[in-house]
Amino acid sequence: MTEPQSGPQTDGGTTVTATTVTDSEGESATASGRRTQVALATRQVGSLAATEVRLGLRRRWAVILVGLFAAFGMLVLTFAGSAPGTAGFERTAASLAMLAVYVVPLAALAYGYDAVVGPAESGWLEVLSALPVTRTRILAGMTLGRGVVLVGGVALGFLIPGAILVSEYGPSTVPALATLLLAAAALGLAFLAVAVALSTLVREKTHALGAALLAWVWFVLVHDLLALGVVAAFDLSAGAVTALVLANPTSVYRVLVLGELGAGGTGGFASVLSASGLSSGLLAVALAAWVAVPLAAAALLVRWRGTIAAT
Amino acid sequence: MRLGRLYAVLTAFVLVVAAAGAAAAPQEDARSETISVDADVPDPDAFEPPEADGVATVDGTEYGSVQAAVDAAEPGDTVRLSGRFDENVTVRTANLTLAAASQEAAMIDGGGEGDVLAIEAPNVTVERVWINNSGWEADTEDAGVFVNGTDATLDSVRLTEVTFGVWVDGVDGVTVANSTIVGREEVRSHAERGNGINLWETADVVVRGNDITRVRDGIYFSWAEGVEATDNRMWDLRFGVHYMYSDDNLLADNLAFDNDVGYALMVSENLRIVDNRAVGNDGGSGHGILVKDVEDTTIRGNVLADNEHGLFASNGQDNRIESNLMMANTVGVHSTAGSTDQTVVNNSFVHNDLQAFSTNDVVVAWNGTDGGNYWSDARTADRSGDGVSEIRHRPAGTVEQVLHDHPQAAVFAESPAFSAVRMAENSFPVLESPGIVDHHPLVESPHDWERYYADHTDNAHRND
Repeated sequence: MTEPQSGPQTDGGTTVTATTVTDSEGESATASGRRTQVALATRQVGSLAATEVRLGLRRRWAVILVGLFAAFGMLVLTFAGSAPGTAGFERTAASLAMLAVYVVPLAALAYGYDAVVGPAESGWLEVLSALPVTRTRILAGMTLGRGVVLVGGVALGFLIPGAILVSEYGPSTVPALATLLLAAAALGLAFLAVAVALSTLVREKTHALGAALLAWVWFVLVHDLLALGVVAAFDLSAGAVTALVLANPTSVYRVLVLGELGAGGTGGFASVLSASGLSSGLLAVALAAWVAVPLAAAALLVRWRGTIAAT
Repeated sequence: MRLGRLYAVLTAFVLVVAAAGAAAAPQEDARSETISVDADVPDPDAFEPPEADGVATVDGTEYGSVQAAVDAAEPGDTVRLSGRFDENVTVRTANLTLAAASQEAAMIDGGGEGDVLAIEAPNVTVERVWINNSGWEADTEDAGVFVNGTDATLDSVRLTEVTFGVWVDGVDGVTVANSTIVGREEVRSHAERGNGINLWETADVVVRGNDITRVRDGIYFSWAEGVEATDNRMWDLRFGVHYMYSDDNLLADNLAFDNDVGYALMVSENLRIVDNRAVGNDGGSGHGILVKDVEDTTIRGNVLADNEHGLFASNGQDNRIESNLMMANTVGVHSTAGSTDQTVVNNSFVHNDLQAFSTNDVVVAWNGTDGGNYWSDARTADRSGDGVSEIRHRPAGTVEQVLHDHPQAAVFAESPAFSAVRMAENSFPVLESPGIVDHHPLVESPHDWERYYADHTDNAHRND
């Protein structure tokens, strides 16, 4: 009920400019025209994102996410106890990192699965579509807003156990924990992107939920199990192993964080990493690609979805 | 809305701080926490040879050569040495004592030919003499001291620039104590070096409190029985201690570090390997203790840390491996096929990259009676409160097999997939894949392992 208020109010003022700019698009794209267009896009996406953040707060998603990550983080700390020395820290940090493999994708998928299909079912997407704002921008705004809420949840949620760890093991642990936090946030964004893409693809909210859960099972459990089986069955080239890791955002995250923490545990982790060319840089780029590619797919799908909806 | 902005600003702030934190300080070296060896070993490059011409005194008479003094001495006499002698000496007088005031007071230099000092009479004692520069040939057994007389005693002797340090040639009752043996670093190939103390066809020998480095094997046994080797320290060698065809021996309280292998036990029976330490033995084959074709042997109370393999066992029978601490090795215990009736109990497996591995194609249970071993990574539950977990632990199962056969699989380490396989193996005995199982893992470690994690600063003088 309060949803439409902010949207139309902000966008209403720009209606005229928007249409004119859209008309002139492609014909005489002057520098000033392009600038106005960019400014307009930024404003539209920005206000949509702001609306989404507000919705996220109002629907208690922010509180839920912060609480969830903080609670699980504290749980790990409680069970880890306080083993002395860097070995103790390494194990606790590794546990925290491994916990994130389960929880962060689940939270991101649960929060993101209805990003498009939800408003489409409630009619909110149709209302927005009536305004002079492209579907791609609607998608961008919504995703950006949800991304902010999710990253906020991860960052603020893990801040509490992180701060306790720093106070316990000293400031030298800050880099490792900061890497962990940033990687967990990126993992969340990757799964949010996957959720948004799925949400754009399906026609019903329940289908989106099912697809999101399947995605979780696949990326968190099945993919690595299958990959392990493939590695055990065949002598793969280093390139194939690299591809297997890069094909799963949770694997990318896990290898990145364990590599940075130096807590691979099982034999020869570091040497295998260097042999397969999985440098931190490559892994970070791969994680970024896992955010960008599903979103690009969603941006394409949302147009296609529009034509289907029209018929 | 103010709340939304506050949330976004807080998030941005945390992210910026995290990014700065991740970028600002370089990553801590993950292995900064090394295992400490409190080995206060002498620095072989800091020895100061005496300059003055040598004087050998026997019964108030002074001689310019040790050989002349030894030949003039009666059985039971003491020949006192000071200064530097350039000669090869053969002692044929029984009950003789060769002594110097301190290790740096008198040196006999063999000039790089043959044995420096040969003992050919019984009951000869050598104290605090510095023996230097033997011949270079390992084939002709060129040694610092060649012992061919029973009941010889070498105490606080220093041997430098030697091929073999002490060669015991089929005589019994020899004692080598508190001595320092330094081989030739410039001989690169271990095959061309000799052993520190070479025991051949001998019995009732005591090897105690020696420091041995830069030779092939620190203490080498072939057909030696009843030897007590205790409190020795061995570093920068091929094998610290090497048993071949030598039964009924005791090895206790020794320290071997930075060798290819700490203690190599081969083709022998009834050895007692007790309370020794092997640290950082990771060159070449890289084992803390290597057990090969050994029977009825007890390996108890040893600390095997930071090696490639803590313990490597192949083709052993009826051996007891108990109360040892395997810590921070690449592989804690590697047991290959042919190791039968092995008792592995009350050991601690702490933070080894791979705690244990077995190539046996059957399931091996590693708990002798009712208590097994301590595993730092085991999930334990002790409902009865007797210190023994009711959940069985599989240190080596499918995952370890896959890792061993396909090291690439390590990229999936710690993944939920790994955990799922491990949990299934621990929980459902139906899924019995070959490997090692501990039915009653210990809840608490019988070892105080945490004290071995320490700074390396007290070993700064260690030669690498």
